[in-house]
Amino acid sequence: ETVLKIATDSGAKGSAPGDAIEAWAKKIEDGTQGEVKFEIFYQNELGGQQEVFDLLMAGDVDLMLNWPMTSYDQRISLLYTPYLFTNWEDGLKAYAPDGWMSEAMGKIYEDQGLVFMGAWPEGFNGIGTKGGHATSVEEAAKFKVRVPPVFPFTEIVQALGYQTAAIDWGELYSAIQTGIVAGDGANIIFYDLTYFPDLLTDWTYTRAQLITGVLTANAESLEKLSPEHQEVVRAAAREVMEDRFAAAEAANIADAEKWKALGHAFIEPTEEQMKAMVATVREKVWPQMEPLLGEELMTLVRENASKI
Amino acid sequence: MESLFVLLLLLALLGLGLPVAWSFAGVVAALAWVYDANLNTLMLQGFRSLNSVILLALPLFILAGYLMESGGIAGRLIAFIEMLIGRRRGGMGTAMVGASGLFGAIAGTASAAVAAIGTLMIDPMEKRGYPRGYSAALLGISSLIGILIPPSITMILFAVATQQSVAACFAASIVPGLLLMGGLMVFNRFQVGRSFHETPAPAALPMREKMAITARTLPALLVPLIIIGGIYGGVFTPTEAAAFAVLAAVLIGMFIYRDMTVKKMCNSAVQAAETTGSIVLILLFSFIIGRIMVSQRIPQELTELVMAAVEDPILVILLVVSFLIVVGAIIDDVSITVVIAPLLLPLMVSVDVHPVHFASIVATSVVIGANSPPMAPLLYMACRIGKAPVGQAVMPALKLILWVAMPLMLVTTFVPALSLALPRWLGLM
Amino acid sequence: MLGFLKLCDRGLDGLLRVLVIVTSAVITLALVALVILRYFFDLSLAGMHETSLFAAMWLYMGGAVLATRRREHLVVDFLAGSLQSPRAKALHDLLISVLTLVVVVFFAQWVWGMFAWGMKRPQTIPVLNVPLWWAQAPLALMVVSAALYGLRDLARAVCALKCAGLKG
Ligand code: NA
Ligand code: NA
Repeated sequence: ETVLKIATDSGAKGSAPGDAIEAWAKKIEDGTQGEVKFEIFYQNELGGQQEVFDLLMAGDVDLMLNWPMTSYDQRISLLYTPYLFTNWEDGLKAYAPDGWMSEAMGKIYEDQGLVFMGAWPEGFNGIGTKGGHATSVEEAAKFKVRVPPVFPFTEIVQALGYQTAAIDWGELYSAIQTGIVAGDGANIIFYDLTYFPDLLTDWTYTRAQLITGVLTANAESLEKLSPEHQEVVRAAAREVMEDRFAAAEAANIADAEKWKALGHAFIEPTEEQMKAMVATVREKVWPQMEPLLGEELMTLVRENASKI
Repeated sequence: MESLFVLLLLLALLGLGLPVAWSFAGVVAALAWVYDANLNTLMLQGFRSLNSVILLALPLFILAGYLMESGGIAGRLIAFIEMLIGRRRGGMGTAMVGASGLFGAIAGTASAAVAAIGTLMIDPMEKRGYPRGYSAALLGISSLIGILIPPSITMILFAVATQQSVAACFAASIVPGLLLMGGLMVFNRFQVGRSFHETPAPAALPMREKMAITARTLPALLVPLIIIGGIYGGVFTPTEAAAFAVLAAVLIGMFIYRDMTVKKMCNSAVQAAETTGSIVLILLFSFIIGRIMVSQRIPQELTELVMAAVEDPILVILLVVSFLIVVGAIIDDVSITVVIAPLLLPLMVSVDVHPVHFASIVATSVVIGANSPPMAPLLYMACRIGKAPVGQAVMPALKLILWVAMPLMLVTTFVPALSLALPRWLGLM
Repeated sequence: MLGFLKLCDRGLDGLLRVLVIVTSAVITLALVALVILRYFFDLSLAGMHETSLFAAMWLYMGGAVLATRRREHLVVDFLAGSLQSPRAKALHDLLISVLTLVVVVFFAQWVWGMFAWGMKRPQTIPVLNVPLWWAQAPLALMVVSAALYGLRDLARAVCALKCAGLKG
C-alpha cells in the first residue's frame, strides 16, 4: 500500500477544485483496489500557492491541481498569453489530450520534473469594478484595479486601458472598501462573487485569458508506482479533466447568474468591442512575451490563436 | 502522541534557558528527524513564509516605534495620554488597551499592534509602576483585539478556508472584539493595587500647562492621524501605512521637534533591526513547525479523535471549544484557522452552530492560543519588544486568559447573537 | 589571534549596521514611492513589493545576527535567574552554548538543503528577474554567524568555568 499526498492551491474543501482533487484521489484509490491511498490537502493548508508548488516540484506533494507558477521556468507563462482563445471551443480543443497546448505544456513540464496530466479550465477572466465599468480603452482609464504580481497580468490589464496597482491579496478586501483600488482585475467571476459580492458592482467579461488549473504529477513520484498504477493515475486525470470540460462553461454561466441575482451588472462586450480589445492587447503584450517564451512557442501561439 | 512529545521537548528546551528561537529550531530538528522530512524544502518553506508583503508591517512598525522614541514624538504622546487619563486608576493600562483597539481598526495582524504599541508604551508604563512582565502580557492579549475588529487577516483566512463571506466574518467578531477591549480595561483596573501599585500620579496640572502640553503634542498626533486618515481615506493599505509611519516619524522628529539627528536615526534603525531579527527568527521556526505538523496530519488526526468522542450537542460544543484552547498551546494560530477550524466546522454545523458564528469562536480561541505557552508567539513578541523577562510575563498572561479571554470565548460561544446580530443587521447573511 | 578575531567581529558589526540601515531605508522608500505614484500620479510602479521583500530578508537576518552577537535573543529565564554560584552560572552557560551549537548544526543542514535544491532547480524572483538565492543568501549569513558566535559563547563559558574552578 502506497500513501501519496494530493493538494490544490486554489480551493477549500467543498469548492470545485477541492471536489476535483477528491474525485481524482477517489478514482485512483478505486482503480488500484486501495493499493494507492491519499492524504488530501486543500488551499492554504500547506502554505501559499508558491509554497505548495515548491512541494510538488520536490516530490513532497505527489499529485496536484495547480495554477502554474512561473518562478522555475518562465516559459510556463505560455498559459497566460492573452487572447489565445476568445471562445470555449478553441480553448477546449487546445487543452484536449492531443491539443497543441497540452503538447507544448507537456514538454515544458517535463523539463521541470513534472508530468502534465491534463488541463482543468476554470473559465475566462474579466474585470470586477465598483461603481461602473468600461468597455473601451478610453473608459477604462478612470478605473484602478488590482492585478496579481505575475507576468503578464499587469501588462494585459494596462493594455485594456486600466490603471493597475500591486496590492497583496490579503489586503485587497479593505483596499476596495476604502477606495485604494476600484476593482479586481484578471480573476474569473467565481472569485469576485465569492470574496467581494458586497463591494463590487460591475463585472466586465473581457475574456483575455482562459484561466486553467493543471492536473500535475511529480515525475519521480509517478515513476515509483507500478506501470499499471501509473496508467490508473493518468486515466483518472483524463476523467477528471473530461468532467471539467463538460462542466466548466456551465459553472461560469451559473456564477454569472448568481452575480446578476445580486443586482449587479454583468457586461458582455459586443463583438466589435471585443475585436478592438483583442487587437490592442495582442499588439501590445505579445511582443513582450517573445523573449520569455522563445521563438518556437511564439510561432505556435501565432498559428493557433483564435481568429477574430 | 507526537504532539505530547513536541510539547515536552519545547518545555524542556525553553525551561533550560535556550533562546526561544533555538528552542523552536530544536523542535523542528526533532520533528524533521521523526518524520524524515525532506530537508531540501524544509527551509525553503520557512523562507517563503517570511517572504510576505503583509509581514513587512512588523519591521516597519517596530522601526517607527524606535524612531518616534528617539525623535521625541513618543515622549510627547505619552505625556498627552498621561494628562488625559493617567491620573485615573489604571489609566496607563487602559490607554494601552484603547490604543490596541484603535490600532486594531487599522491593521490586519496582531504583530503590527505589538510592534507599534509595545515600543512606545511599555517603558512609560514601567515608570508608573506597571511591571514589565504584566505590561507585556496585557499587550500580547490586547493586540488580538485587532484580529477581532476588521480588517483582519485571520478572518480572511477563515472565510477562505470555510467558504464563508469575508464581510460577514468581519462583522461577526466586532462585538466580541469590543467586549475583549472592555474586559481587559476592567481587569487592568482591578489589578492596580492588587498585583502591583501605581506610582502616585503627578499633581493635577494647571490649565495653562495643559494647553502647553496639548500644543506640543499636536505635531506628534500627526503620526496616528496620518496612518488612520491614509487608510480610511483610501490612500494606502495597513502595510503601506507602516512605511508612512516611519517617514512621518523621521520628518517630524527632524524638522518639527528637532530632537532627531542622523546619528540617533541610525542607532534607532540598528536597535529596531535587532528586535525585528530576533522576532523573525522565532517566527521562522514556528512557521516551519506548523508546516511539518500539518503535512504529517497531526492536527487533523487530533481533530478526528475529538470529533468521534461525544454526541450530546452541548458537550460537542464544549469539547470543540476546549480543544481549540488546548491545541492553541502547541499549534500556531494560522494552522488553527486554516487547518483545524474547517475540519471542526461540519461538527459544529451538525449541532446548529452557524459557520459565521464559528468564525468568531475561532477568533476568540486564537486570542488564547497566541498567548498560551509554550507556543505563544505574540506573548514572546511582546516580551522581546518590551524587554520584559518571559518568566514574569507568563503568570499575568495566564491570569488574563483565565479572567478575560476564556470567559469571552465562552460567552461568544453560548450567546450566538453577539456574533450574528451585526452581520444580520448589515444584511451580510 | 584574539586581537584578529576581535577585529573581525568589529568589522562584521560595522558592516551589518550599514546593511540594516540601508535595507530599512529601501523598504520604507519603496513602499512610500509605490503609494505616492499610485495615489498622485496614477502610476503602477512595478517591482516595489519584490524590492522591499528582497531588502526585508537581508534586514531580518542582519538584525538577527546583530541580536545574536549581543546575546539579545529572547530567553525564558526561570532557571538562569535561580542560579547563584559563578560555577553554576558558568556550567549553565556552557550547556546553553553547546545546545545552541547542536541546533545550529541542524539549521545549517536545512539551509544547505535549500541551496542544494536551488542549484538543482534554480528559480528567479518575479518582476525583478534576479536569482532567488540572492534573497536566500542572508539565511546562510545567519547560520555562519550563529555558529561563530556560538563558539565564542562556548569559549567564554569554558574560561568562566576555569576561573570559577580556580576560585572555588
Ligand atoms: Na483589525
Ligand atoms: Na499557544
